[in-house]
Amino acid sequence: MGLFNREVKKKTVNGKGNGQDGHGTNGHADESVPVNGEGAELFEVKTAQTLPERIGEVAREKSPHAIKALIPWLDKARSSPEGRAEFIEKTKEVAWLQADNTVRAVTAGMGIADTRAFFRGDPPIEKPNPRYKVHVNAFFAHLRPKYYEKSSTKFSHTFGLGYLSVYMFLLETITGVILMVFYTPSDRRAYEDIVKIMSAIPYGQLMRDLHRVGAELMVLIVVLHMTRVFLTGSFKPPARGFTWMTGVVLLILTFALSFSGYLLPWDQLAYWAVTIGTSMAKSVPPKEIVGYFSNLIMRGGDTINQNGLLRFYLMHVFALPAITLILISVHYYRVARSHGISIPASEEESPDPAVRKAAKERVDYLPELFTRELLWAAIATFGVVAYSAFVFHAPLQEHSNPLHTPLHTTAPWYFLWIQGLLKDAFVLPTLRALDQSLIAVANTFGANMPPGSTIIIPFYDSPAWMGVIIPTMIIPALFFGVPYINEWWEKFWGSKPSRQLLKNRKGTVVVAILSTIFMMVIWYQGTPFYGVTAPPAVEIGQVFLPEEGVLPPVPLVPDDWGPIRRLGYQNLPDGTYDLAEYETPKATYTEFERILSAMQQEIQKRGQLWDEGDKVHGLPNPSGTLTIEQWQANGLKRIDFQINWEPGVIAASDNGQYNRVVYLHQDAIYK
Amino acid sequence: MSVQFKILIGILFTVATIVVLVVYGINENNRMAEYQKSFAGRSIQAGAEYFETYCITCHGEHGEGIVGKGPPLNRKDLLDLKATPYLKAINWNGTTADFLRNTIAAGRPQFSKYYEGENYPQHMPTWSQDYGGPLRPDQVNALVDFILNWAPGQYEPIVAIVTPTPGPTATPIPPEEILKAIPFPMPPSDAVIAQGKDIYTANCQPCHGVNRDGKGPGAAGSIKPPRNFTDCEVMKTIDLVRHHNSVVNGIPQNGMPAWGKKLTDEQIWQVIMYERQPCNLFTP
Amino acid sequence: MAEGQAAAVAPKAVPAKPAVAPAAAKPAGHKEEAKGVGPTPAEQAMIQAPVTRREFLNYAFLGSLGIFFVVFGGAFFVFALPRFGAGEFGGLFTLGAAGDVIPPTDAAPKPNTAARTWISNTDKGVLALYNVCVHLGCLYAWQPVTNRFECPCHGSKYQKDGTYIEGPAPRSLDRFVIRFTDANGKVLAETDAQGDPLPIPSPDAVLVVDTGKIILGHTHG
Repeated sequence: MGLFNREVKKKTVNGKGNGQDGHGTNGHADESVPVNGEGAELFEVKTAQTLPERIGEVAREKSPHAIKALIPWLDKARSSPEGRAEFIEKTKEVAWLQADNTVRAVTAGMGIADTRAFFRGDPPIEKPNPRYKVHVNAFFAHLRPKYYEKSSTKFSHTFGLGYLSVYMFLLETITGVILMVFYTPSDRRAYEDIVKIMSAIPYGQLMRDLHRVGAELMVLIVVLHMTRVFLTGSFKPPARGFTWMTGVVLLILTFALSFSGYLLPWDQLAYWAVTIGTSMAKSVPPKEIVGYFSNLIMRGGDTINQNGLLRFYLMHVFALPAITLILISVHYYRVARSHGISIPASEEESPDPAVRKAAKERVDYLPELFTRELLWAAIATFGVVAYSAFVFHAPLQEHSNPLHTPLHTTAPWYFLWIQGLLKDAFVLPTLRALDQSLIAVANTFGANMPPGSTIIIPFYDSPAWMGVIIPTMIIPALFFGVPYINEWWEKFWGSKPSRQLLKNRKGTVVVAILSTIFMMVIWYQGTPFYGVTAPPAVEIGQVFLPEEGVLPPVPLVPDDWGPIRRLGYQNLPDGTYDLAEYETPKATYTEFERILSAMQQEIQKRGQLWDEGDKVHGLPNPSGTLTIEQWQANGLKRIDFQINWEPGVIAASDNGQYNRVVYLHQDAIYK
Repeated sequence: MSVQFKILIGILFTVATIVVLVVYGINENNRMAEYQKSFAGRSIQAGAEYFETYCITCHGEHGEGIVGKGPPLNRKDLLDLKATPYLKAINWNGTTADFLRNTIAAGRPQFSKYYEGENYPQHMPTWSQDYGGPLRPDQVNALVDFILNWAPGQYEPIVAIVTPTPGPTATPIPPEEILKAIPFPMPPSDAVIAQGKDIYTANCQPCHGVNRDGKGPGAAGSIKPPRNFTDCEVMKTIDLVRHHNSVVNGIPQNGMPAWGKKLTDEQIWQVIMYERQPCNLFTP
Repeated sequence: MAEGQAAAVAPKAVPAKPAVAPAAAKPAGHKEEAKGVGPTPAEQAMIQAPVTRREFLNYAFLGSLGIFFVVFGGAFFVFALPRFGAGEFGGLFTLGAAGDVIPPTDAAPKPNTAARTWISNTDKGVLALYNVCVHLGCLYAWQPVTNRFECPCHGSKYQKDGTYIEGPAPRSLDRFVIRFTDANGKVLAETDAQGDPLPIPSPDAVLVVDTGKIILGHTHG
């Protein structure tokens, strides 16, 4: 019944009679007496109870369980001291219940005692296992399996690489969102925003470095994870084949995420590395259709400009992370719910049934495996934070200049293998040699083919094969198809499907070793060390005074702006230095003089190469000078590295001189 | 490894991370100041490179200016950042940086009128991409940083600032008067040629070249190439009157400055004789 | 083990309860109506057991993770907090020599849009009044005809020194802390905590307005 009871009940209040003046004996209006005449019924409050009774009733109905439980004991407490003692005990029980329920709500199923047992590592108290209740009730716990098979949790089996990949993704998301607070994807502002993040915002450089370190680590860890899965044979159909394929897609997505983010600082490194990458899209055959349009859509224009930056930003910040998150969910769902993490093959296929049984023993996720994961996360966090704070700083070169490509521009390290393929050091020379021998054979049989003619070469489109078909079609297809290639291979040889690597999968070992060697070789070929890239004098200048900071072809190593900039403004004395005087380094040399000596030796090396007949890498009679001038009194020096050699020898118009000019300001930090 | 040991390691690494974050944060203000200076320095370096590429042909390697091509930038009245005498004289209300930035970005529609007797008949080109030029905004800013780094300035202002006067208004001299004004017998003596050479080297060589062939360093970017005095076919068509007129009054639309107020009559004839010597064109 | 401990520490006044297994069919949550309302003996034993090393380490780990998140959150807070440089509203504005930038006491106050202030010179001294009306945020203006500040939105009116005259505004105008420095930057005088007008020390003193420090106007009766 409602608070205001319209029923008129002539019940007396507390057993007492009506008061004379319309007030009941407890001083309140006697609601059973009408207040005034006409229509007063509509406005009278007529209830059967006094106010305290009414409050008590409402309290009983609407109070939480705790207070309701106490109410009968309350009356008892009023009557006797034993009753009071009982009431106190009852209150303690009720309090315990409340606390216990609260803890259950927070932990999604475990009471106070069970929570303590959880932290102590004791077996659970309630039955059924309340830790399983947590998995049922809580969203994040529900994502994880309730228990694992014991051997699958061995660190030496998985190294926690899958977990670490997700951790890296999370790290990148968090640091990425943090950086988004200050970054604008505009070609006019992006570079300045990065400079501002690095120099005007507390912890800005740390957040940027964390993001960069996390990105490079994520690519590494994802590749290591894939390698591990491959070597332990945990990709075999029917169950794990699909998981493997989603994993390959995730690998490609990781590369795409790293590549799309690479452009955002909008410096020379970013701009030209991404130009190279998107240019490869141009040659996807058929070039006129797929190549042309995919390039345009990616770049938003003919060259990368404001449109391209915005598209890459959109991809990097929303589209790719969303797709990656969905695919991680698909991938992990299969691992956690369908087939589980694999057990080491030597145990799973052991002839001893006791070993096999022990391997499959169940281990609850909570609490020990959870603790191990937290530990792994703590170690990883410390690693990235300490490395970013003290060792590695994300590079920033000069503002992007669409009109000038700096020397030794390369793709990021994880794409160097494609650059190596593009240099085509194997197939093209082989085909050329084949061509020559075929022509020689034909000529001996009477065909008179002039020198310089070709038979096979015109049919071989090197950039299409090496730049597109192999890296974007054949190699990914091979990766994708690993489960089925493996199946076919086993059927072909009639071997029993086994996951033990060294015993029964020797072919796999061979494939792994060969493909690693192959990757290393073409990766090396992709670096600027391989193949002639610039005239020898320019190369010498690039060693000592590189145009931009040189990024080494391996991840997580800081960039290098050359020995002179690293030496620093203060240690560069003005003057003109004839390098020939510094040919043999003396023990008393300063750091600066040692650099001069190294310059002279580099120059002499080229002279020797020329004398030995290498007309491509060598220089005839080379010499050099280094001039350092104070250009502006407020701390600007001009450094002119001049290399001279005999004019007119390499080419008629060659004037035999090359100057590399660099300005250095006293405050510029190049470490 | 027992579980307890693992938990202990977890605690240690977490605490170590916290310590790293706090230690890093303590030094953060210093680091930020250092990096701000570093990026300011890098901007000046970039500005120096752009200056070398785009500006020294008119303004000189050290901003000392080239007569007839571009005023000095490295000068005390422009780069005195506290008193800003030059900006006050031209009634500019903003900062020096803004003045430099706007001039570089937008250029000047006509020649500079702020120096008495000095013509810079070739206007300051438009540089910023915003107004149709070749440079990006960050390049313009780098140039401004570089020029400001010359503060407080090395060279004196060329002449006193005067209120702008309209363009050259010399009235043409009738040819007979010109010929009467030649103060020495023709063909001129070696002494006259030698003096003419001195005047030429001091004033004309930047554009007309050491060898009088019109290929001086200041010639790059001229509206019309400077006269090549060794090209006799062309020189035959230029008589003394026309030659004298060009020197005295200048040719504003081509970038040839007016020398009538800077050199005496005698000096002007001496230099004309030196210029006409390669083709031996001394007859009126 | 648990039973023995339970027997030793069972509370006295609680009536003996059978150790009943909780209703297994119930989903997690409140275990209210079943059995007695208090902890079972096993639970009681667990609650009162001493802290083991492993338990302590777990709590320490949890605590350190908590501190880590707090520290990282602090780092993010410092990262994301906008910083106001000189010349931006929220920072310092150096306006110039007092003789140049401060109007005479009988003249109208001078506005400075970048600093969002009116420089008002009264008999008692100089004020830098925040140009936002304290009622609901409109920009009030100086009315030369009536010689006072009037807000166009709801008609609040203020005297030249910011004192409230009439209108819906709850208090007098807010003002910035100003200081006078000499040519080297040494502070000669600074607004007091009440926000009273500051007398000009000399015509060469440089006026600096600190738009990061606002003093609220006095509430009126």
